[in-house]
This record gives sequence, structure tokens and C-alpha cells, in this order.
Amino acid sequence: MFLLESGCVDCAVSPNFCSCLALFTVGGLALFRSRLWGNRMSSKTPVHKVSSHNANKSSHGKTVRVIRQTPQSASVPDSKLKKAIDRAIAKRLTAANH
Amino acid sequence: MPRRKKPNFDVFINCPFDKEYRAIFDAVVFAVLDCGFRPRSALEFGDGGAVRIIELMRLMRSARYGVHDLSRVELDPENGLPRLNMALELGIFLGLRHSGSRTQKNKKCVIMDSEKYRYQEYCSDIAGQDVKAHGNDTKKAISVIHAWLKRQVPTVFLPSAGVISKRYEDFQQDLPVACKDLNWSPQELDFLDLRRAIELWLKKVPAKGLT
Repeated sequence: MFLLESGCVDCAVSPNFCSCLALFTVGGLALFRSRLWGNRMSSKTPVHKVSSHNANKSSHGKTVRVIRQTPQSASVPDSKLKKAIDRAIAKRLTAANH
Repeated sequence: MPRRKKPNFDVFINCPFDKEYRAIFDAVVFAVLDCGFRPRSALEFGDGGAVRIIELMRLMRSARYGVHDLSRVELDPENGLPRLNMALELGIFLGLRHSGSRTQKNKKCVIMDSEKYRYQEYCSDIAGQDVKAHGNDTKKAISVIHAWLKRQVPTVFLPSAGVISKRYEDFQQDLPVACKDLNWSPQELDFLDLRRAIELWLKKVPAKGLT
């Protein structure tokens, strides 16, 4: 505050210039931090598999990147498809044995 | 220690998507999966907001291998125009291979057509390439894919083309039964569902346990 009100002692520039410079520096640093630090942080974000059931819920304030989201009613889970394939194979083998 | 790169076994399949070609397409997808590779196709795209050609180029860049089928060069009976998508995509693939980064220069591809030497008439610029004919036959298409993939991984054991064809026949018998269980229509099966079904079927019926 002292510097901003009275101006720089050494070069005696106006207090307005000092406040502008301070704002510019703080703003630049914030931008730099958000771009670089932000990117680095996002790459470290843990990836959790979130089912459609709780995809929209926050996970205790943790950042959650949803990598798989399917509508529950329409999707056929792997287990169901696997069972259908198992039954089809069994049917074919039984027919072949007879 | 230097980080080892994850091997890329993605195979970009550039082929027609019409009903008549469906049997060959399914056979190619099956053969690629049975040889341990992963088929990729433009049918995976689901974002209507994305520019298709950009998505295609991204997909081609990410896949190390490519299967290109130029068998649909006839004029469309409805509008009297040829379909040039396959040729365009082959051009992009060859361009990436020729002028891309070091990774892109390692790309491998196989070019197929329904008839041998026909390509010399409609696309003489690829006369220097070894174009394989499948004669619109699923077994021949499987044989072409198998022979080509075998050359990519010479030290790895792959089931022979005849075995893959037999397994494909078995899969074709099983698929409608499984689809009926799930209220799916096998003719209208989405590419991603087909790939998932083949992957699960292959896990269940490995090459050694051939029936």
C-alpha cells in the first residue's frame, strides 16, 4: 500500500503505473498458473469408472472423469451378451452331438 | 529406463457399408479379431458435430494397419455415380505412410478388390501395389486377411485361414441364436456390438478348443 500510494522511491513513477504493473503481473501469473498448472493437474486426475447409476453424483468432492456412461434401460451388459453367446454355443454343440 | 511403446494392433477397415458387402465385412472383422488384432471402422463414429473426414484421419493416424477394399467401383444404379470414399481413404492412408512421422511411416496395409487386375483400369496409379482379389467370397477374404496379418507378426502362432473360416461359420450359426435372446436383429447389428460379440465368442471358443 505504501508503494502504491506514494510511488516508487527510486524511479519516481506515478502510483497508477505501479498499481497497473502489479495487477498485470498478478493477472499474468494467474493465467500462466491456470494454463500450465491446470493442464498438469488434469492429467493427474484419477480416472474412475462410473456407471450410469451414479455418473451425475459428485464423489465426495473428488474430480471424477466419466469414461463410460450408458443408458441403463437400453444397454446390454457384457454379462448378458456373454450368457446369450454361451447358450448359443451350447445349443450348436448339442445339435452337433446328436 | 526408456519407456517402451505399447504395441499398436489397430486395423483400420476401409470398405463399403452396403448390404451386399455385409457378409465380407463381418468375415474381415472376425478374421482380424481371430488373428489377435483390433478392427477399427468409421462406423464407430457417433458424434454428429464432428467433421467426418477429420475423424477419419484421426482414426487412420491412430491405427498402424489398414485394410482397404476397392471392390465397389461400379456406378450406383440410383444416381449413376461411382462411390469414391474408399479410394479417398486409401489415398489418405498412403499419404500418411509416405509423408507422416516415423510412426506413420511404419504403417502397413492390404488392398483388396473383387477381381484381380481390375484396379489397373480404374486406378492405374496403384499399379505398383500388390492388390489382392477376394472374388466377393468370405473365405477368400479371410484368407487374404490371414496371409497379410501373418506377415506382420511372423513369429506369432496364428490359426490357419481354413480354421478361421470354420470358426467364422460356427460364429455365424451362433450369432442369430444369441441375437434372438437379446432382441437384436443380426442383419442390423451395430459394428461395436458385432465386435463385442466376436470378442466374447472368441474368448469362449479359443483356437485350440475348436469344435
